Amino acid sequence: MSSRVTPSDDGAALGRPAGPVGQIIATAIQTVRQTRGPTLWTVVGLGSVLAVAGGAVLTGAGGGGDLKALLFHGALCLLLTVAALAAGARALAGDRASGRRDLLGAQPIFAPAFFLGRFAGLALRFGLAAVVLAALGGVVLSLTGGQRAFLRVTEPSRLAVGARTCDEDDIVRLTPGGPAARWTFEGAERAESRDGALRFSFRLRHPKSKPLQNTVPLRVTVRSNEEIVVERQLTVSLRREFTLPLDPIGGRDLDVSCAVTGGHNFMEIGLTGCSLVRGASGPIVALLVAALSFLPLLWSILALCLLFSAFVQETTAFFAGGVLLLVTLAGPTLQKDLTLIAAGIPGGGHSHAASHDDGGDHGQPASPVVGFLARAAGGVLSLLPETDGVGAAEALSRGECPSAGGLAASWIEALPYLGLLLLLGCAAFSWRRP
Amino acid sequence: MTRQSTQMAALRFEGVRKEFRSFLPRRRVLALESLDLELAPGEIVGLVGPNGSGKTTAFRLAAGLLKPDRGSISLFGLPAGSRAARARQGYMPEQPGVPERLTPAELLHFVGRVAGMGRTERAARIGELSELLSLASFVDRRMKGFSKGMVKRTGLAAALFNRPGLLLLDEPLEGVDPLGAAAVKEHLARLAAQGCAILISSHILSDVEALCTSLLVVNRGRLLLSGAKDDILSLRDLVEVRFSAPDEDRTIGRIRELVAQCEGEVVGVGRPREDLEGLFGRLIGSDSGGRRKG
Repeated sequence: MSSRVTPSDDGAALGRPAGPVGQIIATAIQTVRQTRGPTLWTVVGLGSVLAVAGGAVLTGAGGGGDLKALLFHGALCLLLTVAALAAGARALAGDRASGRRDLLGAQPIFAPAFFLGRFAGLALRFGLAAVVLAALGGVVLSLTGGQRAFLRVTEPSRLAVGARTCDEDDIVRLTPGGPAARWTFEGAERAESRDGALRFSFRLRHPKSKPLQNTVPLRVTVRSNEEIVVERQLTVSLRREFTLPLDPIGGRDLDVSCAVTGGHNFMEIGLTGCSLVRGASGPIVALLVAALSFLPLLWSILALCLLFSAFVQETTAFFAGGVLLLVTLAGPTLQKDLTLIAAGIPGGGHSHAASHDDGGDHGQPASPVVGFLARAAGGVLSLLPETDGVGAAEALSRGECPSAGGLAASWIEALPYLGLLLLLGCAAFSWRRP
Repeated sequence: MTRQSTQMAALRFEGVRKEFRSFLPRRRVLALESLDLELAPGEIVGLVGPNGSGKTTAFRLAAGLLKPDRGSISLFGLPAGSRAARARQGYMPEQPGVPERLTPAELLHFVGRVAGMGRTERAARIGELSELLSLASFVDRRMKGFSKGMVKRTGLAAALFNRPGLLLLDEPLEGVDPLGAAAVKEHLARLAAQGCAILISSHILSDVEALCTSLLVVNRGRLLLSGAKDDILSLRDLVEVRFSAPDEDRTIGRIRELVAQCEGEVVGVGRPREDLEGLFGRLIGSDSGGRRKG
């Protein structure tokens, strides 16, 4: 090659392309700038939805219902996911349709750097939107008194360290004036709950017929070494879980009892379980947990980034996109596991039927990593038709942690892990330049 | 061509075949069939052909955005699509889909950042290209609502930004006003004189003819004709004579006689015309100059 090859109309030679980090930052900045318009609308739109949800909670305080609970619990996560899907599709499919992909793809950029930069930009955009949303939501919900509004949003911050659940057939039936349901937390679970604020959550469910009233008076008593630590008279909404905050209570065994103190005689309440949970302690863990709350959202963006990535071959994109959309739907399971690890919570207590005397076998809780791996393995194994993982899946959906040893997850649990593997494979494949 | 000179080629296609297949409906379209071409540094090659002849596919293959089914493509001896090759190329797609929420300056900063240019260098380069491509009036405006010409200029600026050794320009002058097009052509000629290889396609054949040193004509994915422009376009049996004389009719009569004496024949006599582009440039240039003075 002669010296003529390099044009130098102003004496400059061809520069060396920037390194991967520089390219990621450049792409992220470009992505944030490119999506700055819709951010405002995302915040405004989702903020409005959250406000509506807050209103639903307010009205739900006087009477709940499956529909309201479902809408409230699912709406925010669903909307955020849909918004992420739309943003990802717009950002990347739009590139392809408009010819922008050619313009950008011809630049000397690392394909992974472009991919990660695009992801970082979208995540940053949605992260900022999420922070604003959280602040908005906090204000709205504090005004409306809907303290339960963050039940789902802050779900990871209420990490179960012990759980008492029961199958449909063994639901503890409470009747006015009848015997109380009792649970005992001891051993490893109690030790684990030593630091941080403790909360109990009860889930009430009417097992057979629709209740004729929306609230029920309950007396909850927490004893430690036969001494009453907390005794509260509560009016709780049916078909809702509720949380009873407790001060740190040290390493003592706990007895919890719950009794119906009034209401109509013909009403029967099913109490499906009680979990001893611990709030995330410390600012770093709290921050991490809050960040992980948006994992499904980020996961969605990641999925869409890959799906429409300029560097993925057509068939790979089709395949990866389908799989990752499934993964997106199952993202909360992965989120929960990662959160447990982040907060240093072990694999969890056993899930077993509640009983008045609670004579279950608690076993040895697994380490977080072992718990995670076990869940992954259990999830994959549960794909086999013989495996019955419904119980464990229900436990997970209630925010409880099935033990590593007794895990039999539902097929849904397997998706994040399978998806993760496929994601890595597809990403590796897509990094090959044509 | 020697082996050494072959390695020096700015762009080289060897037996490149590309076929597009769609899954549903099941269909195959042959875009290129065994294309061979070679661009030397400093050469401007025009790629012409009707719609669907495979021009854009050839550009996308050269830019590394597509992978050939068969054959090989190299830029300065590097495989097309490799990062090193892309660092030496500037590609302007036929429809440069510019990010509408960015300004041209932001887009060019991105291109420069990726290419490893510092902030000062980027700012200086944006200034140069703004002047060259008349971007100054909209360089800091968001690109939403840009006209086709403005988009083309921005895409061209992005392609030129990192001073590439090979420029791939797919319909670069479409939608650009004549004055802007003239400036671009002038700049491209200057770049070529400095050693930049340029592959250009256009349906405006006069532009291709004016700008290029070599031509490639493709149709249905096949190369119909290639070679130096003068060799291809010259009409070997005819000679053109232009003259100026006070008595035109008498001079023409004498020329006819001379040609007849040499056993030739005058096949046509006409008055040369100024081309429209020249007239446009002259009129608009003088009008703009006059207004500025006023």
